[in-house]
Amino acid sequence: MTDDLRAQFDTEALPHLRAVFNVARRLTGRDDQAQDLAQDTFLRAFDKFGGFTAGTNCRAWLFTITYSLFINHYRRQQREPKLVSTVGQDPLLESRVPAPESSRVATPARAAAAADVEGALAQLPEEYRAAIMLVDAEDLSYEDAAAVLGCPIGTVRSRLCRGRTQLANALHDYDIAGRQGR
Amino acid sequence: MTAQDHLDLEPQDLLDERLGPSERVRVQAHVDACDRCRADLDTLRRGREFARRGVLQHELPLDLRGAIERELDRKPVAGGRGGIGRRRGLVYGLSAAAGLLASLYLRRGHDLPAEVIETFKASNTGQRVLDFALAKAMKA
Repeated sequence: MTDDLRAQFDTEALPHLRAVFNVARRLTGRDDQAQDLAQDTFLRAFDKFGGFTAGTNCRAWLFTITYSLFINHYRRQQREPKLVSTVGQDPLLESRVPAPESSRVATPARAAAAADVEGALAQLPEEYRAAIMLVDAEDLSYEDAAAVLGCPIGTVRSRLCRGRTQLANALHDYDIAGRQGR
Repeated sequence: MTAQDHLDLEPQDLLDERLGPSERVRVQAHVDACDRCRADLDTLRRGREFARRGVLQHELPLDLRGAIERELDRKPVAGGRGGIGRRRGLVYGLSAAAGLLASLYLRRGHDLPAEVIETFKASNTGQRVLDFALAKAMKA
């Protein structure tokens, strides 16, 4: 019984570890907290695995736990991000939102562009960032994102709209391929 | 609707293909005719593409999976399917103990309703005179 449960958890839940870590990383903005949050997510998920319906969206279910843990335990430790007028040219922003040491990207130019996108994303209000992260970066449906965030679908829709607009405006100098000088 | 009645969230619904056929035609026609809504749609498309393609995919830190697996190995079966969790087991145990104590307490105490019935029967047959001391005390 124990082995069956553990084997099922290993098969269904653990393959989503990287996605959970990525979400945790974007929520907390720090590698060390993201590791703790990801680990807490999986330990809590194992405790609750009896309530998980096999065959449903396990990744979304894990994100729900991650977001809930973040709201209840980690957010208090976060400092509210300060708004900056420009992205990618602000030395303060560079020091505040460093390119994570665990990241692996193809080229230096792409790394710089990706760091700027991450920086711009980090400056968004948390609600907008979470909606964008789930729907655009993690490819969840509006419905699953609403379940993760514990809000109506219409709220996801409006947060997504405002967040995408702010993100595009913050990265006004970039084209979509990540090249500067638009 | 005229081009001056700008759309709110519908351009995003168009972008994310969340409109039915007739709505899609209506919103697309408006966007084609309205510069501002077309610009809004373009902004949304850019924001979505940045989020989809521009964000970093972080590599897992070394041994995070190993650390989680070690913690899982140490955990009891608490929340397993069909099993009883530790917390739930504690609640069940305390409830059962409380029920048992209440039952024992009631059994050893006087059965007041039965005593009243017996007293009333005895007074009806003249074997006993009802004591209204308590009623008098309450009136006083």
